[in-house]
Amino acid sequence: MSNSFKNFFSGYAGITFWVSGLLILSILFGLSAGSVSLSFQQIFAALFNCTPGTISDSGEICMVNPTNYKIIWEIRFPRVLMALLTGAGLSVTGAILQSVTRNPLADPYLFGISSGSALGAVIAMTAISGAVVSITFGALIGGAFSVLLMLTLAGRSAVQVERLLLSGVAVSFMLAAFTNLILYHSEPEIAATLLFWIMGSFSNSQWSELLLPFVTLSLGLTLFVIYRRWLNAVQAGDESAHTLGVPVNQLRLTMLILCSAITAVLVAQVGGIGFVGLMIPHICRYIVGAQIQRILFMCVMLGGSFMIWVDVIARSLLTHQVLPVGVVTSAIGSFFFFVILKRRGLSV
Amino acid sequence: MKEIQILNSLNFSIFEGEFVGIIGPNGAGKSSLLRCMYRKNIPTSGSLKLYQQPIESYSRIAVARQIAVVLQESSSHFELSLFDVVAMGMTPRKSILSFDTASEHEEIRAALGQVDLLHKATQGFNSLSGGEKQRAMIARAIVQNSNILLMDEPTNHLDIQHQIDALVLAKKMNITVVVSLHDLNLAAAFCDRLILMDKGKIIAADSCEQVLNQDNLKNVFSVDAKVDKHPFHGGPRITFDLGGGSNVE
Repeated sequence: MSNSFKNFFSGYAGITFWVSGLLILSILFGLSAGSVSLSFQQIFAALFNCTPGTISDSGEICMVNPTNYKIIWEIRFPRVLMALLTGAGLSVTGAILQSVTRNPLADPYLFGISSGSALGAVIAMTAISGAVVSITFGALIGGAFSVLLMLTLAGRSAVQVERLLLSGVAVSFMLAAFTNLILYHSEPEIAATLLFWIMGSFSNSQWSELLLPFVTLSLGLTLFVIYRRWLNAVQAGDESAHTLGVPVNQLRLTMLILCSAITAVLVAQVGGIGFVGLMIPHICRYIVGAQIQRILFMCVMLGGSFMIWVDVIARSLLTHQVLPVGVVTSAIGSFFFFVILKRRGLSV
Repeated sequence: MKEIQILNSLNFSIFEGEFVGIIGPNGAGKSSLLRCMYRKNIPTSGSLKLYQQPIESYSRIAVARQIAVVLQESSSHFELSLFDVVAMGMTPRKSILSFDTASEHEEIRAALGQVDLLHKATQGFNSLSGGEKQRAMIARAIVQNSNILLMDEPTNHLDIQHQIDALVLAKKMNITVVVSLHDLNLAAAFCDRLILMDKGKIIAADSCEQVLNQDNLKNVFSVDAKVDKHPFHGGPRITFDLGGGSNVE
């Protein structure tokens, strides 16, 4: 093997190649696994060949199994894509929040964004209606409310990262308490539904629900990439970034708002899924260093892949029963994180 | 909250191409003055002008295009490479939508070469020694390509060789340099002019020979010192009297 060939597969270009491959493989496994196991051949036939029952220009009747076609296009594909978007979105927001606060423990949960979105969505589900739009709207309002509350609590000292983080933790616990209070006073059946929803699930993912998360995440990612120089500069400290002309406080506030919007939209669709926004950015940083544009790319690839696998595990582990995704992410994530910290002395 | 006046009655000019030192005891206001000069702090009264224009009239980016800053200590909270940190110098020069080019990467490598750190380009910034970090920040300032360099006690915690290295590199940039220093002999060796500060005021602003005299040293630093001619550079040389002048019994 030539040296340039070896260098490609071990350098950043190589990493890009491997994680892209991993994502494609994860999508295929996500489509394959479930109560009806489908081979890759059956998946490719349903994805690329033809629609069952139709006749091609050459007069051939499409022989693709209609059940397989329906399972893939109507059930598994939207579910896999929702898992991909959720994993990517939560990982990306975690990476951005960690960068702008320079705190390795920052993630959407620490700032109370997830708790606010969950509370908003739970209120919308119990008090307004169960329609998707109202839940999304409730989650958005809840996420925005948590950010406003955090900034208000931090007061004039909001420019101080430590103060901002402490306010976020307080808001997170306060809003989680309200959510629990609503659960406590709900009818048992509604409480069970809400509890399962809060712990996260991709069970009801549909094509129509993918648009908003996709648009929000794409917009967020575009802005993160545009602001990459400033985001990189902030990682060396506020004072240092200021000397490079970066409006640090405005940048931090903008990023908080963007991250809360992405989190709120995702929480509204799939419920609360913890640990991904904390763990995946650390793994990405460990693999590609601290440059934000590289971390973002890795977060999309690894975060998306991870969440697809988590969903596969959640629906395959127990027969005729789907585990809440949040339970699986926390179980796998904490264990994986602990092993890496223990064995490699993970640098942050 | 009670307001504390940190700086007052300051009146001085710095001319293009000068190497000016700001000296004074701890708490004299050296860093606060520098922070006003790079627009981190805005004076509550009076005006600070950059090329005859009030500094408040410049945007943050416009100030960063004119003024590069080397802070007392630098660190990266996450593991940025040395190359990444030096590349940050491009931030004020580039529009937000532009991408990096091969020639800019070459420029960054050249700056790393100038401070003799090219061989460590891929190494983590936090793994560098204090002296290497300061040289790296000077490389960032070179990449920033500004007309003025402000250095806030850049020689703190460095051994004598790295102290000299940091100031030689700044001198070699051939731009206006304003540096706050604690080592008066280093200040005398490198600076064209000195600003002596105490309790937020300027006590003297003149040539090194005029500022570094026994009376000023006694009044401002409360130490007895002998000032004579340095055998190498011909400027003032300060030798402290270790027996007298100390407030510690």
